[in-house]
Amino acid sequence: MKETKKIIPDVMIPYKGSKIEKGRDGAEYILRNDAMYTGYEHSQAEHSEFFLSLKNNCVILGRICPSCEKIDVPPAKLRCPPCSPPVDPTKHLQQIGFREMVVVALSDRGFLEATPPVVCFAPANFKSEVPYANGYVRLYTKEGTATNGAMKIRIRTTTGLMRPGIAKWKDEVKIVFRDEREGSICDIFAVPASELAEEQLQKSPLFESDIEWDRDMDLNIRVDDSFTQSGDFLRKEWMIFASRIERSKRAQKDLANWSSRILVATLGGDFGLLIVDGALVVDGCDLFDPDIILRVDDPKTLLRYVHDGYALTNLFLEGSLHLNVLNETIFKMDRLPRSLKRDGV
Amino acid sequence: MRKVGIVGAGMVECRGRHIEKSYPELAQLAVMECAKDAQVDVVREADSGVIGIYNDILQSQAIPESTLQGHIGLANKSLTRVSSGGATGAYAMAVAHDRVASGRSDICLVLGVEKALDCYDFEAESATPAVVQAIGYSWDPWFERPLGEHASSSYAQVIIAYMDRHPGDLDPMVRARVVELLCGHAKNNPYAQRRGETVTAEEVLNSRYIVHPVHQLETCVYTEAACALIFASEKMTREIARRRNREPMWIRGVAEANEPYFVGDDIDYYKAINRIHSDYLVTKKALKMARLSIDDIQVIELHDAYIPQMLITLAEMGVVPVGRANDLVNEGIIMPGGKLLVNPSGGLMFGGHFVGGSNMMSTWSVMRELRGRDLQFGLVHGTGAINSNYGVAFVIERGES
Ligand SMILES: [Zn+2]
Repeated sequence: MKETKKIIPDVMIPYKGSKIEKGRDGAEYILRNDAMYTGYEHSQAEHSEFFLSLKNNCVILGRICPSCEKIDVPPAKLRCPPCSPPVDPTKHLQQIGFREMVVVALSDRGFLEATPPVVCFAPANFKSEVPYANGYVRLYTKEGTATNGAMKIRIRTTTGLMRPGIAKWKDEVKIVFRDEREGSICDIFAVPASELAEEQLQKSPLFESDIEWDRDMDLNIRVDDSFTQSGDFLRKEWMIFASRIERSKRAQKDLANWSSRILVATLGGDFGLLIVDGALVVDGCDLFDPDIILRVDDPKTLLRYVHDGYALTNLFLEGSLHLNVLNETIFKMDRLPRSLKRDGV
Repeated sequence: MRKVGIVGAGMVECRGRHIEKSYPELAQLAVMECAKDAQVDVVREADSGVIGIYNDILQSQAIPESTLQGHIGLANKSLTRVSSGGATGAYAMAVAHDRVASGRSDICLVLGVEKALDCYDFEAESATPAVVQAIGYSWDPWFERPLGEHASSSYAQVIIAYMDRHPGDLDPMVRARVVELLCGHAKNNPYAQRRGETVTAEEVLNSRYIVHPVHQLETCVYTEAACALIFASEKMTREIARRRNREPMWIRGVAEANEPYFVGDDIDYYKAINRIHSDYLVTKKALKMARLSIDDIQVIELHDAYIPQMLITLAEMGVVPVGRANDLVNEGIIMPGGKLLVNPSGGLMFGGHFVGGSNMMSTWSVMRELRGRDLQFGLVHGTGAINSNYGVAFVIERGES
């Protein structure tokens, strides 16, 4: 059966109801559950040609102005405001500016106009996609000229989760098409050309299924005896960290109404962390079915978090911490060091 | 064009959330404070109003200004609502300026108000993702919104593109020291959202990246608050100044510029992603109108949505060359004792960012500093929209009493 996805996931739809909260003045105030929603059959209008071309032909279209020869991608406007069409002697009033642009098929190769930022904290509708990067790509025409306009497009890596440094300013990229396309900008994404084999670069269109993904996702648990001592030390430090949370109202609030099972895997051994009822509990090593895996080689890496308050997100982005997923649990944990400090714990 | 003065300002305390107050209540309180500060009878003396409200979704109401008409004392008078992204407050001020300058209004009430944290993500059990999403609805729905673009990612894109072209500038430690600086400034702002807070450079660098390369502690906060100002003609400005027994404040220059939405390689045709060209243009234009140079400006309240963006903006303004923003801190230019006072209110970073009125708070702060420190010229700046494309600048002069 074909999977059907709802525009608004059930979990985002609030139940009817309300709650009471105390204001700063001590009085009671009502917070009533509500949502503003509007369904759309959103016309893609003049952009339909572009999106149909992605969906049906796997070809990216741009628009070129016959006068100034600027090439727009995405082809967001149909006319070039500063340029005028040729004079028409049969007409009393001449068209001033707004020359009609001409559709042009572009290649599936281009380069980054700037280093793309890596999004860790996303809008509500995109939480499940972090970490992600969107970048501005200038494509080449079939003749090899670069477009003047730059198109925002999702940048993906074949190596695992997206991190800074994977895609940079001026890097050459290849456009990849999803195997199933719906006629949207999400039908395509870009991959750094350096991550692809020559035959993949030559193939047009290149499909998502032509690529092996998550090549370097390294979550395998290994142990090295020389790290046993620092592994034990790390576990003790986590226990001290957990006990500090018991003394911090702010930190407990950070973890309130949240639960998670975390496996910490290091060369010096592994152990579990449980988040439950506003507390962090350091558990034994037989943690069943973790929803997050934090894997580092040297246990000392994680001391930067428990000792210095250096964010787990940053350890991940810098490449010293491997994660299976970057999600709200990590963000909640990243709030803890500052909360502990603000509560003087 | 007639000369325009600012005769009063009223603020409501910035808070992460006012569960005790709706936006009409916040608006009325700000106007009430402003009327007191100016000693102006809004109902009988103001002949028009301009209101900045950024985002209907954040207020949970479309055309929210309609509710306010009676609350703020402008029954049956002209009230124009302005919504121009992050720069909404500054744009509302620009419209009010033009209304008075044109002679259509003698006393114009300018108001900015915003709620934000009523938005709620029932999955994450947290307000922020929903607020970020509400702002994310501002992106082009055909080509960009489906990709998950939002305010932080777009500012980060401008910042990182600038860093591509100027490697070594916007040094993380420089940025962290600016956070410390603004944190200190906010202690003098009785309305600041984070006035009791202490943030160290080390904490900034340790804080997580929300969008790499921007740390959480170098981004502004979401705020609920309101600010009101009163703009008046030269005649009324002088009369009210006498009534109030204090010197008038004059708007000597004002300019706005909006860059194109789509990015490309020609700065006159596309958005240049490594620049905040609108900031360059409006500063130049507003200073020209005032017949001043950037070196004449003694205090700037600028729109610091993100600390690295604030440093780029100061470079675009000509305080330092583009590519040399580190000098602002390393040469002590904006540091205590330096030649330029920047964001003495704590900025949007520590003061608060209630989008419709933040730039009005900046104006309140500039006027306070001009009076309090016996200065003559200040500059107010607003930026906003996708990739920081909208820019506004005002030059304010403290007149003779
Ligand atoms: Zn043209």
